[in-house]
Amino acid sequence: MTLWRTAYASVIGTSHVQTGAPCQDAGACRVIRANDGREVMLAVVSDGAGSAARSAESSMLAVQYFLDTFTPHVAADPTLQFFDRTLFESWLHDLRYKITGLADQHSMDVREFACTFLAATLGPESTVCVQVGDGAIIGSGDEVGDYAWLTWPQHGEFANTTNFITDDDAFDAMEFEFIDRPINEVAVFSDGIERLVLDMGNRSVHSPALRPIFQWLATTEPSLEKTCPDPALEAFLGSARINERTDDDKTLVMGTRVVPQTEERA
Amino acid sequence: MVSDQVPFDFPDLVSNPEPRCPCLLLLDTSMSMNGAPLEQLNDGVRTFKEQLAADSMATQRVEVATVTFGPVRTISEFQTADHFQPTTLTATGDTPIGGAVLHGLDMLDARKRDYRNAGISYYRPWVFLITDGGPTDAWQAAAERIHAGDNPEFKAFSFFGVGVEGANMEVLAKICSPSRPPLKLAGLNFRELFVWLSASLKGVSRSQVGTSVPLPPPGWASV
Repeated sequence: MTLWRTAYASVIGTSHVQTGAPCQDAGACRVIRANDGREVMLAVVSDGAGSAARSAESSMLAVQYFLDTFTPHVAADPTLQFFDRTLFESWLHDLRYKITGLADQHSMDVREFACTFLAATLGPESTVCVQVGDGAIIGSGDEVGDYAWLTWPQHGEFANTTNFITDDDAFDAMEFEFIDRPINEVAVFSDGIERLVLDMGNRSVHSPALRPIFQWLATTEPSLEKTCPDPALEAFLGSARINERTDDDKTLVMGTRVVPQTEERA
Repeated sequence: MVSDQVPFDFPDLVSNPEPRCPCLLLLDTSMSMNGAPLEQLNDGVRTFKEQLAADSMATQRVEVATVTFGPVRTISEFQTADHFQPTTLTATGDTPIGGAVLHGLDMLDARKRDYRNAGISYYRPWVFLITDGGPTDAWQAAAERIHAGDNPEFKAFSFFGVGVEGANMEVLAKICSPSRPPLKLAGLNFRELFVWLSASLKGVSRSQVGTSVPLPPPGWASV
């Protein structure tokens, strides 16, 4: 049985419901059993730009392409030593090539496919975080129930600006972090909930905003592949208390390999 | 309803300060504005406040500052729409547009520094200049600063110039950025102008990342 308990959900923003726009966020998670029997978890989020007509397609493509590309890599080498900046750059290059092809096919500007990208790869010894744009990746901190950010949202000078993988300078904006230790709890989310979870003034994670969700997640059934969104996370992200604070699409992908208290006792 | 399905205690979410959308009004109070124009302008600014205050998001996010000329005078510093109290403006002097622009843009730069120091995010500021004359001071430095701050490559702010009947539109066009030429107010349609401005700022103040904000057509401008 796997050690990982995972969940993801993408919920459309109330402003998009009003305008009839689709949910432009995409998110997914997958646990891969490596050749040596150890496990690696992938948590991926992409947020399509609001003004980009076809960004719902590019965000889904980005998430799926990351899973497809890196599943065999991590299966072969769960130490993640293979994963360096150059490899991610070449992956991003290929993804942009695919998106440009999609744009050409529809005779559209590639900006109509603008989206952000965030992915956390959690191995038994190490962790890799990559990001272009806003949203954030957070992981377990020094104390139980405390969380710290692994990547911070990228915003331009103005509140409604960020970087997209389709931008000319996407490679300059690209963040790549190889962390030489395992991380046992992770949350990857789009900008729709960043202002509810992150203390923007102090540049820190507001741990109580995630703690009860991680505690609950640790009590759910472990599984390798989640093929459908988690109803509990969907209910949370779609609740009135969230919608009164944000009208944007929001995606949350979470994983934990922390053993719950009850199992320890048993 | 849905909260019943959430199997965990509802998390304690963090409250960050609202992002701000600064709007600087540079208003002509020269003697030629005396009478009906200034009465209509005062009425327009009051309408502006009412419209913003009626919108729950704009009232917390839009910050208004007012500078009049001449002489160049700060009537109100940047404050959110719920705190902004329009004062009745009276006609006083000449038309130092150049000085007013430089003074106003300095206020704007200082306000941006305040935001950054407090970790408050902000939208692209709007500067709105309304005049019925032409500059009575040197305006070239002001024009340079506007062109440098509002062009397709560098967007520090959006600068809108509005000429009331009698305004020197030729010089106003030189002061405004070539990418955003001045508009002429139809009659004394200040009220409609400020309704448009508040509607536009409401749009900006709720805009999301990667969203371009379409402006409503300015029904107050003469063609």
